Amino acid sequence: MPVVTFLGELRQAAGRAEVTLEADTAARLLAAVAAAIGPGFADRLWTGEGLQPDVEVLVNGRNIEFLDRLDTRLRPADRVTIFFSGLRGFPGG
Amino acid sequence: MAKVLVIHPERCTACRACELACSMKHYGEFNPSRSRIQVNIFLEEAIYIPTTCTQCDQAWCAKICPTNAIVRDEATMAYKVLDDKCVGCKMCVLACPFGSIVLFPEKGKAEKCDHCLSVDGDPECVKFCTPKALEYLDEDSEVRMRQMATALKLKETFKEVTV
Amino acid sequence: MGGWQGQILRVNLTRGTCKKEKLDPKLARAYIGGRGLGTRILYDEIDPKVDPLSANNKLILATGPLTGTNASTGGRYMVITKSPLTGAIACSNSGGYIGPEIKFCGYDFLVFEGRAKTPVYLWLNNDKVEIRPADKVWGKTTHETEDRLKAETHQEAHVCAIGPAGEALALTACVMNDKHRAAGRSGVGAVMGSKNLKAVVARGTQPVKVARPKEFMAACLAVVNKLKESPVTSGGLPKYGTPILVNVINAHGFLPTRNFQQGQFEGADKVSGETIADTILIKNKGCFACTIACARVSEVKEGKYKGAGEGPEYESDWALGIATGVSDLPAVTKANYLCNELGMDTIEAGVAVATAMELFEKGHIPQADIGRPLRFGDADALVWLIEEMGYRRGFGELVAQGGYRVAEKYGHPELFMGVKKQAFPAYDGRGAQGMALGYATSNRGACHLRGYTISVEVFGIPKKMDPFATQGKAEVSKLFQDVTAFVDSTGMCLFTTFGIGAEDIYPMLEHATGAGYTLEECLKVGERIWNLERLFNLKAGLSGKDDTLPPRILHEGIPAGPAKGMVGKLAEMLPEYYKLRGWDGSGVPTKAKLKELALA
Repeated sequence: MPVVTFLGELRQAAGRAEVTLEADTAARLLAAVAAAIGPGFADRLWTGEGLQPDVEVLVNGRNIEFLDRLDTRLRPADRVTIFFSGLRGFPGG
Repeated sequence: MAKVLVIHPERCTACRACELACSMKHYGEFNPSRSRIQVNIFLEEAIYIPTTCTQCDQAWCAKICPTNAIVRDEATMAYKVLDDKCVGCKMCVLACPFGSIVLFPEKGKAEKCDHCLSVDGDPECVKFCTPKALEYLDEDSEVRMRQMATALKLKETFKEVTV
Repeated sequence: MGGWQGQILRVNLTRGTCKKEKLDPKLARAYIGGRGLGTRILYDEIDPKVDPLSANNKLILATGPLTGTNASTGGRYMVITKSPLTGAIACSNSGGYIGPEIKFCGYDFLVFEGRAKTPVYLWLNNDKVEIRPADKVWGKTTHETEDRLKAETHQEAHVCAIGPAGEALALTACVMNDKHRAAGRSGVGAVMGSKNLKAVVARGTQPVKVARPKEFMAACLAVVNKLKESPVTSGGLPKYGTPILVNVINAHGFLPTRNFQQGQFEGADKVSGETIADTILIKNKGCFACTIACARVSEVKEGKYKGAGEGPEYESDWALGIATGVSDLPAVTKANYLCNELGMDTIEAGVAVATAMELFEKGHIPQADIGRPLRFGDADALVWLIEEMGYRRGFGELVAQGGYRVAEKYGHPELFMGVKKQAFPAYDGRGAQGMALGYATSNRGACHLRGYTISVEVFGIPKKMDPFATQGKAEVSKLFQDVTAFVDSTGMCLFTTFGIGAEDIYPMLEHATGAGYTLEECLKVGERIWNLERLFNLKAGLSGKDDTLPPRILHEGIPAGPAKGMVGKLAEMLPEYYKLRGWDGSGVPTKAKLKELALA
């Protein structure tokens, strides 16, 4: 089953760093996150139809934007990472 | 309603935006050394404490002033200096135990934080304090908030004791 | 014009004289201040071929027109000189309080010339200037220097100083201010050391005035409120600081691990922003006028790496930890504290250690030269070597010169990971092609603060671009490079662009100066600065041939992880970049471009 890792504030909000969930697409995985952690947490991730504008989802390190977005297929060994981006730019660290 | 400028040193990040905003509002220039609020930075201990006039109920500066130049605003209960009455005798500077009132030589008048009453009654430092280390609140709500904070702590203690 | 104090202080250290000069308003208008104007002054006053550590090089401490104002983060100063590390232009930027304090003394710029016979420091007591002997603090750490010089001058003074590394002319040396803030890169601390200048101490009570106070404050407040709304500048950055990036970049598979031998680090979460927040973080802190407050006040409470200070930031965390394969957070933090106290750039120092580690593990450095084994992941070795470097003792004497000199000395310059002899920062360009192009073309050598394409490649800001793709990266790189040069020159911190854009910064600049800037013109100034830096480098003897990447990045694919097999596809981007810049095929600005930018 895919392992989901939360980073930064999402980790704090979820109360855990990782969760393992049964899902075969990115959209179904996000629904499963909602069921596993709570509806309030899920609302921070997506609107029900799409991702919130500052949420990034990686499947095996690739942003789903460059895969099949929410239709991206998931295999059991996949690793999913979810984090907040900024609304504007990141100038460096 | 009596107002109070509440300082939360634990939230202060030592950015000194309050000092800049204060000097701009009152003198039209950026000059932290003239600010009526000062951030005291203890780098080693990582402790940053903004200090300004506490608007004492029995204000020593006002009591000692021979020309009655320091008056209390009835609405907010803050003290301001009346320039036309101040003669620059510095009695108030000597009287204040907190160093919250000073004399600026070029003007020859005492100056202190008056919650911006002499301009528009809207404290500029509070507007620029992003971490909310400074808040401008009604006095009774602030007192009530502190009572509530104490009660909450007690509640947690009771829970630990009784469970 | 407002914002500027209108005055430069010229300090001739050879003669021991100080002279006040008027700031040329036309030049200030054309280059804004800070990085731009400082580079122009240096370009006009020195021969770019000069030996950087000779008395003929100059050292400029520059502020911007927004330094010392309520513009959010308006507290930056820059150290501009010819770099002894790269031989190219150097401009290192720092926050804290020293920049505004220089302005409150009445100066926009301090220009240091020549070389003092014996160690000195400059004491700016408002408009009174004094060159004082520094023999009592020579050899001392930056922290001890600051404490002693404050006791000698004024408790509320602010100090920038070099540590033992800068005194010993280490090419990794930086200039530290307010104890924990660094003008870090390009070896600017060694230039200060070569001038026998230990510190600048300032205490000022003079005002900074702006042209249109009411409009300026309204523009500032609008920006403050915008930064309050941005999740990055009001949430993520204050809470986790820059190390929030450790896990993010690791997940993408281009977190450079063990001197860029891997793209993911198995120990990343042990040194991540999340772990720092849970363990060593005491609180966050702001620099002058900063409404973001990303600095980490930290403390390692017990154990052999016990200590207190600030950091680590993402770059330091990466260079001292991940690049060296060390996942022991207290050790990485200790190494960071040591760099601050001894006055070394954490990036250059960390990568130098990583270079030495790879050379040792591959058998290119005999153990006898080091005096002990030096393997990746060895926390004790890291902390030991950093201290040796700071004092330039034993093997540390060479490593303090940066990774390039170490790799070259042992016959494998190809194992140095950097550009123009300056070490890479914490993103592997093979996984983020825009960064590969940015590193290759950066005027001060490999750098993440000259055009941060991670913004589009990881965070989708202002639009999402595939980090693996090369298409469109030349255009984005050029745009970001120009905007960055503009922001740096104002005296604001680049981090505000987490939450606001040039269109928010320009009104503050305009109301402060009253100079009649337009937004378009501001971006043009950015391009002018970029080209001027390029001209400096060309005159210094660099060429388009230096716009390249190490063979590992160009030819060896990342061995595993999300970016497996990726190389830096520079050849696909560089010609387009030159063209967009209006440069010829060898990277030289055309006459038409120079004329357009009023540089001809």
